Amino acid sequence: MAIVVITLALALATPLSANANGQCPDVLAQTTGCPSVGGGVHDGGVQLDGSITTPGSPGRGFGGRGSTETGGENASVTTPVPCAQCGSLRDGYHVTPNPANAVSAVTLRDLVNFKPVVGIDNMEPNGWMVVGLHTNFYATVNVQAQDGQLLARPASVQFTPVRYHWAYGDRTSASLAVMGNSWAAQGIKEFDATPTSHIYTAAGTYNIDLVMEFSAQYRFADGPWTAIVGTIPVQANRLVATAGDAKTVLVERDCSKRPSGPGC
Amino acid sequence: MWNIPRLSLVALAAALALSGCVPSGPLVTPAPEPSSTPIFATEDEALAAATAAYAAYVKMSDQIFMEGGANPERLGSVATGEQLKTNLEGFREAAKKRYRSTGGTAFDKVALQALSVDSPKGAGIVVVYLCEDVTKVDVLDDQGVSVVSATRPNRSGYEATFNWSSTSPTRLLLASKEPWSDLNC
Repeated sequence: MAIVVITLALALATPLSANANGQCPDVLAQTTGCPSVGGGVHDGGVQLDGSITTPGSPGRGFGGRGSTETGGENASVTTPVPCAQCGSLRDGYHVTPNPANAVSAVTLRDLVNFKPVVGIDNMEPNGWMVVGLHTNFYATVNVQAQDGQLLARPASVQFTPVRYHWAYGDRTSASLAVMGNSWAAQGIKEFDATPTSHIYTAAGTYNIDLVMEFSAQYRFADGPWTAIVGTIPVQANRLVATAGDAKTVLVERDCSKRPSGPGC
Repeated sequence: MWNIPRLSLVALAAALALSGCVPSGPLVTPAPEPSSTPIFATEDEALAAATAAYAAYVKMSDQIFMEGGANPERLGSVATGEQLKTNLEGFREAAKKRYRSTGGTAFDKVALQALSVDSPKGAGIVVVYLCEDVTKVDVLDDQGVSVVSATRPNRSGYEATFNWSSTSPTRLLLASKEPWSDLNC
Protein backbone atom coordinates (compact mmCIF):
# COMPACT_ATOMS: atom_id res chain seq x y z
CA MET A 1 0.00 0.00 0.00
CA ALA A 2 1.79 3.08 -1.17
CA ILE A 3 1.24 6.37 0.55
CA VAL A 4 1.40 9.18 -1.88
CA VAL A 5 1.87 12.71 -0.72
CA ILE A 6 0.72 15.36 -3.10
CA THR A 7 0.43 19.05 -2.71
CA LEU A 8 -2.83 20.33 -3.99
CA ALA A 9 -3.15 23.82 -5.28
CA LEU A 10 -6.84 24.41 -4.87
CA ALA A 11 -8.40 26.23 -7.75
CA LEU A 12 -10.62 28.19 -5.40
CA ALA A 13 -9.14 31.60 -4.96
CA THR A 14 -11.88 32.69 -2.60
CA PRO A 15 -13.21 29.69 -0.74
CA LEU A 16 -16.61 29.86 0.87
CA SER A 17 -16.74 29.65 4.61
CA ALA A 18 -17.68 26.81 6.86
CA ASN A 19 -20.12 27.73 9.55
CA ALA A 20 -20.49 27.52 13.29
CA ASN A 21 -21.74 24.48 15.18
CA GLY A 22 -20.38 22.01 12.70
CA GLN A 23 -22.94 23.09 10.16
CA CYS A 24 -21.95 23.41 6.57
CA PRO A 25 -23.97 25.52 4.18
CA ASP A 26 -25.16 23.85 1.00
CA VAL A 27 -23.16 26.25 -1.12
CA LEU A 28 -19.97 25.06 0.59
CA ALA A 29 -20.90 21.39 0.29
CA GLN A 30 -21.48 21.93 -3.41
CA THR A 31 -18.31 23.90 -3.99
CA THR A 32 -15.54 22.38 -1.90
CA GLY A 33 -17.22 19.88 0.37
CA CYS A 34 -17.68 19.92 4.12
CA PRO A 35 -14.46 19.22 5.95
CA SER A 36 -14.29 17.11 9.05
CA VAL A 37 -11.98 18.65 11.62
CA GLY A 38 -10.94 17.54 15.09
CA GLY A 39 -8.32 18.63 17.59
CA GLY A 40 -6.40 16.83 20.30
CA VAL A 41 -3.39 17.03 22.53
CA HIS A 42 -0.44 15.43 20.81
CA ASP A 43 3.28 15.37 21.49
CA GLY A 44 3.45 18.42 23.73
CA GLY A 45 1.16 20.48 21.57
CA VAL A 46 -2.13 20.51 19.76
CA GLN A 47 -2.75 18.62 16.57
CA LEU A 48 -5.62 19.57 14.33
CA ASP A 49 -6.71 16.87 11.96
CA GLY A 50 -8.89 17.63 9.00
CA SER A 51 -10.16 15.27 6.35
CA ILE A 52 -12.35 15.21 3.32
CA THR A 53 -13.32 11.86 1.92
CA THR A 54 -14.14 11.33 -1.69
CA PRO A 55 -15.98 8.08 -2.15
CA GLY A 56 -14.58 7.22 -5.56
CA SER A 57 -16.81 7.10 -8.58
CA PRO A 58 -20.12 8.78 -7.97
CA GLY A 59 -23.12 6.61 -7.68
CA ARG A 60 -21.14 3.51 -6.88
CA GLY A 61 -20.64 1.67 -3.69
CA PHE A 62 -24.14 0.68 -2.68
CA GLY A 63 -24.38 -2.62 -4.46
CA GLY A 64 -27.74 -4.22 -3.91
CA ARG A 65 -28.19 -3.00 -0.38
CA GLY A 66 -31.50 -1.56 0.59
CA SER A 67 -32.05 2.00 1.60
CA THR A 68 -32.63 1.03 5.22
CA GLU A 69 -29.26 -0.58 5.61
CA THR A 70 -27.84 2.04 7.94
CA GLY A 71 -31.00 2.69 9.87
CA GLY A 72 -31.49 2.61 13.58
CA GLU A 73 -28.89 2.88 16.25
CA ASN A 74 -26.26 0.95 14.37
CA ALA A 75 -25.46 3.96 12.27
CA SER A 76 -24.92 6.42 15.09
CA VAL A 77 -21.16 6.63 14.89
CA THR A 78 -19.65 10.00 15.63
CA THR A 79 -16.01 9.36 14.90
CA PRO A 80 -14.47 11.20 11.97
CA VAL A 81 -13.53 9.39 8.85
CA PRO A 82 -10.96 6.79 9.81
CA CYS A 83 -7.68 7.05 8.02
CA ALA A 84 -5.61 4.14 9.25
CA GLN A 85 -3.47 4.06 6.16
CA CYS A 86 -2.73 7.73 5.97
CA GLY A 87 0.45 7.56 8.03
CA SER A 88 1.58 10.55 9.98
CA LEU A 89 3.07 12.68 7.27
CA ARG A 90 2.83 16.39 7.72
CA ASP A 91 2.86 19.55 5.74
CA GLY A 92 0.60 18.63 2.93
CA TYR A 93 -2.34 16.53 2.03
CA HIS A 94 -2.32 12.85 2.56
CA VAL A 95 -3.85 10.74 -0.08
CA THR A 96 -4.41 7.06 0.29
CA PRO A 97 -5.43 5.61 -3.01
CA ASN A 98 -6.09 1.95 -3.51
CA PRO A 99 -4.72 1.16 -6.97
CA ALA A 100 -6.36 -2.25 -6.99
CA ASN A 101 -9.83 -0.80 -6.85
CA ALA A 102 -10.50 2.42 -8.68
CA VAL A 103 -13.81 3.07 -6.96
CA SER A 104 -12.60 2.81 -3.38
CA ALA A 105 -12.68 5.85 -1.15
CA VAL A 106 -9.90 8.39 -1.18
CA THR A 107 -9.31 10.35 1.96
CA LEU A 108 -7.59 13.68 1.83
CA ARG A 109 -6.12 14.33 5.20
CA ASP A 110 -4.27 17.28 6.56
CA LEU A 111 -2.55 17.69 9.89
CA VAL A 112 -1.27 20.82 11.49
CA ASN A 113 0.56 21.08 14.79
CA PHE A 114 0.75 23.93 17.22
CA LYS A 115 2.90 24.19 20.32
CA PRO A 116 2.60 26.73 23.09
CA VAL A 117 5.44 29.18 23.44
CA VAL A 118 7.38 28.44 26.60
CA GLY A 119 6.87 30.99 29.36
CA ILE A 120 9.55 32.37 31.65
CA ASP A 121 9.83 31.94 35.38
CA ASN A 122 11.27 34.73 37.48
CA MET A 123 12.32 35.21 41.06
CA GLU A 124 12.88 38.06 43.46
CA PRO A 125 15.51 38.64 44.67
CA ASN A 126 17.06 37.54 41.41
CA GLY A 127 19.36 34.60 41.93
CA TRP A 128 19.42 34.51 45.71
CA MET A 129 17.17 34.24 48.69
CA VAL A 130 17.30 34.82 52.40
CA VAL A 131 16.63 31.85 54.64
CA GLY A 132 13.44 32.42 56.58
CA LEU A 133 12.18 35.21 54.35
CA HIS A 134 9.81 35.08 51.41
CA THR A 135 11.23 34.62 47.95
CA ASN A 136 8.82 35.78 45.29
CA PHE A 137 8.51 33.43 42.30
CA TYR A 138 6.36 34.37 39.33
CA ALA A 139 5.79 33.36 35.74
CA THR A 140 5.64 35.48 32.64
CA VAL A 141 3.40 34.07 29.94
CA ASN A 142 0.53 35.25 27.81
CA VAL A 143 -2.54 33.81 26.20
CA GLN A 144 -1.27 32.85 22.78
CA ALA A 145 -3.18 32.61 19.56
CA GLN A 146 -1.40 30.86 16.74
CA ASP A 147 -2.58 30.68 13.17
CA GLY A 148 -2.05 28.10 10.51
CA GLN A 149 -3.66 26.43 7.56
CA LEU A 150 -5.64 23.22 7.47
CA LEU A 151 -7.16 21.89 4.27
CA ALA A 152 -6.25 25.26 2.71
CA ARG A 153 -8.39 27.09 5.24
CA PRO A 154 -7.41 29.18 8.23
CA ALA A 155 -7.04 27.29 11.48
CA SER A 156 -6.09 28.77 14.84
CA VAL A 157 -5.23 27.44 18.24
CA GLN A 158 -5.28 29.48 21.42
CA PHE A 159 -3.25 28.39 24.42
CA THR A 160 -4.18 29.63 27.88
CA PRO A 161 -1.95 28.99 30.90
CA VAL A 162 -4.11 27.43 33.59
CA ARG A 163 -1.75 26.00 36.20
CA TYR A 164 1.80 26.50 37.42
CA HIS A 165 3.70 23.64 39.02
CA TRP A 166 6.71 24.87 40.95
CA ALA A 167 9.42 22.55 42.22
CA TYR A 168 11.48 24.65 44.60
CA GLY A 169 14.47 22.32 44.78
CA ASP A 170 14.14 21.87 48.54
CA ARG A 171 11.89 18.84 48.12
CA THR A 172 8.83 21.02 48.29
CA SER A 173 6.57 21.97 45.46
CA ALA A 174 3.41 23.91 44.80
CA SER A 175 0.72 23.72 42.16
CA LEU A 176 -0.80 27.14 41.74
CA ALA A 177 -3.58 28.60 39.66
CA VAL A 178 -2.02 32.07 39.56
CA MET A 179 1.14 33.08 37.76
CA GLY A 180 2.15 35.70 40.35
CA ASN A 181 3.82 39.03 39.80
CA SER A 182 6.71 41.11 41.00
CA TRP A 183 6.65 42.80 44.37
CA ALA A 184 6.68 46.19 42.69
CA ALA A 185 3.74 45.32 40.43
CA GLN A 186 1.76 44.15 43.43
CA GLY A 187 2.59 47.35 45.31
CA ILE A 188 4.11 45.60 48.27
CA LYS A 189 7.50 45.62 49.93
CA GLU A 190 10.40 43.31 49.21
CA PHE A 191 10.29 40.02 51.10
CA ASP A 192 6.55 40.37 51.66
CA ALA A 193 4.48 37.26 51.22
CA THR A 194 2.76 36.84 47.86
CA PRO A 195 0.39 34.15 46.57
CA THR A 196 3.36 32.61 44.82
CA SER A 197 6.19 33.17 47.31
CA HIS A 198 8.15 30.47 49.04
CA ILE A 199 10.33 30.37 52.18
CA TYR A 200 13.56 28.40 52.25
CA THR A 201 14.54 27.04 55.62
CA ALA A 202 18.13 26.07 54.95
CA ALA A 203 21.09 27.66 53.24
CA GLY A 204 22.29 26.13 50.01
CA THR A 205 22.03 26.24 46.27
CA TYR A 206 18.70 25.25 44.77
CA ASN A 207 17.38 24.41 41.32
CA ILE A 208 13.90 25.79 40.80
CA ASP A 209 11.79 24.34 38.01
CA LEU A 210 8.44 25.41 36.65
CA VAL A 211 6.02 23.46 34.50
CA MET A 212 3.22 25.51 33.02
CA GLU A 213 0.06 23.73 32.09
CA PHE A 214 -1.88 25.08 29.13
CA SER A 215 -5.42 24.49 28.06
CA ALA A 216 -6.14 24.89 24.37
CA GLN A 217 -8.98 25.62 22.05
CA TYR A 218 -9.14 25.73 18.29
CA ARG A 219 -11.18 27.22 15.54
CA PHE A 220 -11.41 26.30 11.91
CA ALA A 221 -12.50 28.45 8.98
CA ASP A 222 -14.11 31.22 11.03
CA GLY A 223 -16.10 28.73 13.07
CA PRO A 224 -16.53 28.92 16.82
CA TRP A 225 -13.76 28.25 19.32
CA THR A 226 -13.86 24.62 20.39
CA ALA A 227 -12.16 23.41 23.57
CA ILE A 228 -9.63 20.62 23.28
CA VAL A 229 -9.80 17.91 25.90
CA GLY A 230 -6.71 17.71 28.08
CA THR A 231 -3.91 20.10 28.96
CA ILE A 232 -0.38 20.52 27.71
CA PRO A 233 2.44 20.72 30.24
CA VAL A 234 5.41 22.79 29.15
CA GLN A 235 8.68 22.98 31.02
CA ALA A 236 9.95 26.52 31.53
CA ASN A 237 13.52 27.60 32.23
CA ARG A 238 15.37 26.43 35.35
CA LEU A 239 16.42 28.94 37.95
CA VAL A 240 19.53 28.31 40.03
CA ALA A 241 19.74 30.36 43.18
CA THR A 242 21.59 30.43 46.46
CA ALA A 243 19.94 30.81 49.82
CA GLY A 244 21.96 32.27 52.64
CA ASP A 245 21.47 33.53 56.14
CA ALA A 246 20.80 37.20 56.41
CA LYS A 247 24.25 37.74 57.88
CA THR A 248 26.06 36.47 54.83
CA VAL A 249 23.94 38.04 52.16
CA LEU A 250 25.51 40.72 50.05
CA VAL A 251 23.62 43.95 50.15
CA GLU A 252 22.80 45.83 47.06
CA ARG A 253 23.97 49.19 48.38
CA ASP A 254 25.38 50.69 51.54
CA CYS A 255 22.88 49.97 54.28
CA SER A 256 23.45 53.37 55.82
CA LYS A 257 22.41 55.03 52.57
CA ARG A 258 19.52 52.65 51.88
CA PRO A 259 18.43 51.08 55.15
CA SER A 260 15.44 49.43 53.55
CA GLY A 261 17.57 47.59 50.98
CA PRO A 262 17.76 43.78 50.96
CA GLY A 263 19.81 42.38 53.78
CA CYS A 264 20.04 45.59 55.81
CA MET B 1 -67.21 29.68 63.68
CA TRP B 2 -69.20 29.52 60.46
CA ASN B 3 -68.30 33.07 59.53
CA ILE B 4 -65.05 32.12 57.95
CA PRO B 5 -66.32 29.43 55.59
CA ARG B 6 -69.17 31.67 54.57
CA LEU B 7 -66.74 34.49 53.81
CA SER B 8 -64.65 32.06 51.82
CA LEU B 9 -67.64 30.99 49.79
CA VAL B 10 -68.46 34.62 49.06
CA ALA B 11 -64.89 35.23 47.99
CA LEU B 12 -64.91 32.13 45.80
CA ALA B 13 -68.16 33.15 44.19
CA ALA B 14 -66.73 36.60 43.55
CA ALA B 15 -63.61 35.13 42.04
CA LEU B 16 -65.60 32.82 39.81
CA ALA B 17 -67.78 35.68 38.71
CA LEU B 18 -64.73 37.79 37.91
CA SER B 19 -63.16 35.01 35.91
CA GLY B 20 -66.35 34.28 34.10
CA CYS B 21 -66.34 30.74 35.35
CA VAL B 22 -69.73 30.66 37.01
CA PRO B 23 -71.39 27.56 35.70
CA SER B 24 -74.66 28.24 34.00
CA GLY B 25 -76.85 25.53 32.70
CA PRO B 26 -75.96 21.89 32.54
CA LEU B 27 -72.36 20.79 32.93
CA VAL B 28 -70.64 20.14 29.64
CA THR B 29 -67.45 18.19 29.44
CA PRO B 30 -65.07 20.39 27.44
CA ALA B 31 -63.73 18.92 24.26
CA PRO B 32 -60.03 18.02 24.54
CA GLU B 33 -57.80 20.81 23.35
CA PRO B 34 -56.09 20.05 20.07
CA SER B 35 -52.63 18.78 20.89
CA SER B 36 -49.73 20.68 19.39
CA THR B 37 -47.68 17.49 19.51
CA PRO B 38 -47.76 15.77 16.17
CA ILE B 39 -47.90 12.05 16.08
CA PHE B 40 -46.80 9.92 13.23
CA ALA B 41 -48.74 6.72 13.23
CA THR B 42 -45.73 4.67 12.23
CA GLU B 43 -42.01 5.04 11.74
CA ASP B 44 -42.57 4.57 8.04
CA GLU B 45 -44.89 7.54 8.05
CA ALA B 46 -42.26 9.64 9.82
CA LEU B 47 -39.61 8.51 7.36
CA ALA B 48 -41.85 9.35 4.44
CA ALA B 49 -42.57 12.79 5.87
CA ALA B 50 -38.87 13.45 6.45
CA THR B 51 -38.05 12.32 2.92
CA ALA B 52 -40.69 14.62 1.48
CA ALA B 53 -39.51 17.52 3.65
CA TYR B 54 -35.92 16.98 2.60
CA ALA B 55 -36.92 16.83 -1.06
CA ALA B 56 -38.71 20.15 -0.67
CA TYR B 57 -35.69 21.57 1.11
CA VAL B 58 -33.21 20.46 -1.55
CA LYS B 59 -35.42 21.78 -4.33
CA MET B 60 -35.68 25.20 -2.72
CA SER B 61 -31.99 25.35 -1.80
CA ASP B 62 -31.00 24.44 -5.36
CA GLN B 63 -33.37 27.00 -6.81
CA ILE B 64 -31.95 29.80 -4.67
CA PHE B 65 -28.35 28.92 -5.51
CA MET B 66 -29.21 28.54 -9.22
CA GLU B 67 -30.52 32.08 -9.04
CA GLY B 68 -27.27 33.29 -7.53
CA GLY B 69 -28.52 33.41 -3.97
CA ALA B 70 -31.41 35.76 -4.78
CA ASN B 71 -34.16 36.05 -2.16
CA PRO B 72 -32.64 33.47 0.14
CA GLU B 73 -35.37 34.02 2.72
CA ARG B 74 -37.48 31.70 0.58
CA LEU B 75 -35.63 28.93 2.36
CA GLY B 76 -37.72 29.75 5.44
CA SER B 77 -40.60 27.79 3.93
CA VAL B 78 -38.59 24.56 4.19
CA ALA B 79 -35.98 25.18 6.88
CA THR B 80 -35.77 26.68 10.33
CA GLY B 81 -33.35 27.47 13.14
CA GLU B 82 -29.66 26.84 12.65
CA GLN B 83 -30.15 25.28 9.25
CA LEU B 84 -31.91 28.37 7.95
CA LYS B 85 -29.37 30.72 9.52
CA THR B 86 -26.38 28.78 8.21
CA ASN B 87 -27.68 28.70 4.69
CA LEU B 88 -28.87 32.30 4.60
CA GLU B 89 -25.28 33.23 5.41
CA GLY B 90 -24.04 30.82 2.77
CA PHE B 91 -26.33 32.22 0.10
CA ARG B 92 -25.42 35.81 0.96
CA GLU B 93 -21.75 34.95 0.67
CA ALA B 94 -22.37 33.17 -2.63
CA ALA B 95 -24.28 36.21 -3.91
CA LYS B 96 -21.44 38.48 -2.90
CA LYS B 97 -18.98 36.29 -4.78
CA ARG B 98 -21.41 36.07 -7.72
CA TYR B 99 -21.48 32.30 -7.59
CA ARG B 100 -24.40 30.33 -8.93
CA SER B 101 -25.08 26.66 -9.34
CA THR B 102 -26.37 24.51 -12.12
CA GLY B 103 -27.75 21.02 -11.93
CA GLY B 104 -29.69 19.51 -9.11
CA THR B 105 -28.84 17.94 -5.80
CA ALA B 106 -29.97 14.37 -5.27
CA PHE B 107 -30.22 12.30 -2.13
CA ASP B 108 -30.86 8.71 -1.20
CA LYS B 109 -30.42 6.09 1.51
CA VAL B 110 -32.69 7.98 3.87
CA ALA B 111 -32.82 6.02 7.12
CA LEU B 112 -34.68 6.85 10.30
CA GLN B 113 -32.43 7.50 13.27
CA ALA B 114 -34.91 8.76 15.82
CA LEU B 115 -38.59 9.56 16.14
CA SER B 116 -39.53 11.54 19.26
CA VAL B 117 -43.28 12.00 19.13
CA ASP B 118 -43.40 13.62 22.55
CA SER B 119 -40.57 16.12 22.04
CA PRO B 120 -41.50 19.57 23.36
CA LYS B 121 -43.06 21.73 20.65
CA GLY B 122 -42.06 19.14 18.09
CA ALA B 123 -38.40 20.19 18.10
CA GLY B 124 -36.19 17.51 16.62
CA ILE B 125 -39.17 15.23 16.22
CA VAL B 126 -37.57 13.27 13.41
CA VAL B 127 -33.89 12.62 12.79
CA VAL B 128 -32.69 10.76 9.74
CA TYR B 129 -29.43 9.79 8.12
CA LEU B 130 -29.10 10.29 4.41
CA CYS B 131 -26.64 10.47 1.58
CA GLU B 132 -26.54 13.56 -0.57
CA ASP B 133 -25.23 13.51 -4.10
CA VAL B 134 -24.00 16.72 -5.74
CA THR B 135 -22.45 15.00 -8.75
CA LYS B 136 -24.65 16.94 -11.16
CA VAL B 137 -24.14 20.24 -9.40
CA ASP B 138 -21.64 22.68 -10.81
CA VAL B 139 -20.85 26.02 -9.21
CA LEU B 140 -19.90 28.81 -11.58
CA ASP B 141 -18.46 32.24 -11.01
CA ASP B 142 -19.71 35.30 -12.88
CA GLN B 143 -17.44 34.42 -15.80
CA GLY B 144 -19.13 31.05 -16.09
CA VAL B 145 -16.01 29.27 -14.89
CA SER B 146 -16.47 26.37 -12.53
CA VAL B 147 -15.20 26.98 -9.00
CA VAL B 148 -15.87 23.47 -7.81
CA SER B 149 -12.88 22.08 -5.97
CA ALA B 150 -11.20 19.03 -7.43
CA THR B 151 -11.47 17.52 -3.98
CA ARG B 152 -15.20 18.08 -3.50
CA PRO B 153 -16.85 14.86 -2.40
CA ASN B 154 -19.75 14.19 -4.72
CA ARG B 155 -21.46 12.05 -2.15
CA SER B 156 -21.64 12.95 1.53
CA GLY B 157 -23.47 11.59 4.53
CA TYR B 158 -25.56 13.79 6.79
CA GLU B 159 -27.63 13.59 9.90
CA ALA B 160 -30.73 15.69 9.28
CA THR B 161 -32.96 16.88 12.10
CA PHE B 162 -36.49 18.10 11.52
CA ASN B 163 -38.86 20.21 13.58
CA TRP B 164 -42.60 19.90 13.44
CA SER B 165 -44.41 22.70 11.65
CA SER B 166 -48.17 22.92 11.40
CA THR B 167 -47.80 25.44 8.58
CA SER B 168 -45.53 23.36 6.40
CA PRO B 169 -47.16 21.24 3.69
CA THR B 170 -44.70 18.49 4.52
CA ARG B 171 -45.37 18.95 8.27
CA LEU B 172 -41.60 19.08 8.87
CA LEU B 173 -38.94 21.76 8.49
CA LEU B 174 -35.24 20.97 8.26
CA ALA B 175 -33.68 22.28 11.48
CA SER B 176 -30.11 21.08 11.14
CA LYS B 177 -27.96 19.05 8.83
CA GLU B 178 -24.58 17.92 10.01
CA PRO B 179 -21.93 16.04 8.07
CA TRP B 180 -21.92 12.41 9.16
CA SER B 181 -18.91 10.41 8.16
CA ASP B 182 -19.77 6.79 8.61
CA LEU B 183 -22.72 6.23 6.36
CA ASN B 184 -20.94 4.52 3.48
CA CYS B 185 -22.29 7.06 1.10
